[in-house]
Amino acid sequence: MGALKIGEDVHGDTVSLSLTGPIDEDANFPNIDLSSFQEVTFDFMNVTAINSCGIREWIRWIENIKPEARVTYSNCPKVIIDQVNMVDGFLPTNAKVGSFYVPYFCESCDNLDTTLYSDPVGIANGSVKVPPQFPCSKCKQAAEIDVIEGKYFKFLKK
Amino acid sequence: MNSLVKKQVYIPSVLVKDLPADEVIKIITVSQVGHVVQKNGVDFELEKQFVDGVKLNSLNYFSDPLKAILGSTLINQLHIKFKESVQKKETIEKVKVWVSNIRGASRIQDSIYLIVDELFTNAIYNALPFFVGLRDSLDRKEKVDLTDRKACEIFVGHNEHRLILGCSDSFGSLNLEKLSNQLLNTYAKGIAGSIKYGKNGAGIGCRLMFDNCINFYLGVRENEQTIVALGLPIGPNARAIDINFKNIHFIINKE
Repeated sequence: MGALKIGEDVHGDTVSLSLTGPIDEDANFPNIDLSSFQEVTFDFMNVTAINSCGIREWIRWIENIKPEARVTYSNCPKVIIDQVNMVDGFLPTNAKVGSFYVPYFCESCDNLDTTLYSDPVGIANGSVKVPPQFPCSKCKQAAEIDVIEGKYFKFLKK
Repeated sequence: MNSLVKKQVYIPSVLVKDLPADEVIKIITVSQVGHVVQKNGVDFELEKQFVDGVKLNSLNYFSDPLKAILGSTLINQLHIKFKESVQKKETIEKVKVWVSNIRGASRIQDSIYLIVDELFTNAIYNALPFFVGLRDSLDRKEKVDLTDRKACEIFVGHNEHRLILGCSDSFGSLNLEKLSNQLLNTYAKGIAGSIKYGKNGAGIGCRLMFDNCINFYLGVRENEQTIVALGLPIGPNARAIDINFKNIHFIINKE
């Protein structure tokens, strides 16, 4: 479990940033001027954890993004969706969640799966249809959605 | 509330039902109540026994918190000593490996890591400076060595329904009045509005831990020992973590 690594991919006024590891006090955010981009995409697929200092450093880092820039949070694991739901400013105003993971737990074999949802229309309408059950990747029994939907999908209303 | 710490050993308790988390914090902050227990919470009988036990002798909690909380239902436990800030990641990793063998714990793994991280950080960066009378915690990037004499301990234990995560330090500098006010503030101003933008603590760690547990145990023997522990539901009850009904306990010992 090392420090956070951030990969950058710049094309003109567009930047894609992919994060790997924990977002915490040891995170060294790149010296990239986020205010110079019209489009910013964050890929959270490989984020493993976030703590209180990580939340603070994240908000501090992204506050330079231009208010009119198009900002997308992609492949958000539960730890990121939890912060989007709970902490104002974790997702900048006018930014959107492009895709996110939903956890499913299998009581039969004690396995936790996560399934990616990336329905742009549903997300835009705030009405994602997520199945309450999903076949477990290990035993194929029915795994149940492992979040309180009213709470987890609160970010869709933002 | 400071009078609680300084003078009062007997702490009243209340039983409630479906009381939201912010109301629990309000009760504990503005009244002399030190235990709030939800009647419909996980392990309700054990929680009642816990309150009775610490009212009888609060030292039970300070000598063996897992036994005091889970009693005879305790199945297994792990203790990890630490004294240096650089040990955080290895400590989290050890807990991660240990809990991976507990049935039903995989679904709360994110909460487990967050809580161990915050407990470790509080012990290393908050407990020492407050013990020596400083007003703020240490810079989170500083390397800290508490020496063997002041080593801290992360402990984990479980029964069939709950996993207990906790941390013990030998400073006893946790200010319960300040902490409950800080928690209450996060409900009034929101988490974002409560963040401290310095190099020290962000000031929201306790709120994050509280959001990720169903039982919050805060024990202080002034200038001697602090034990903070949290209960998380495992097995079929695990989604209770997302339901907003929580128990809180202040355990104070004055010798």
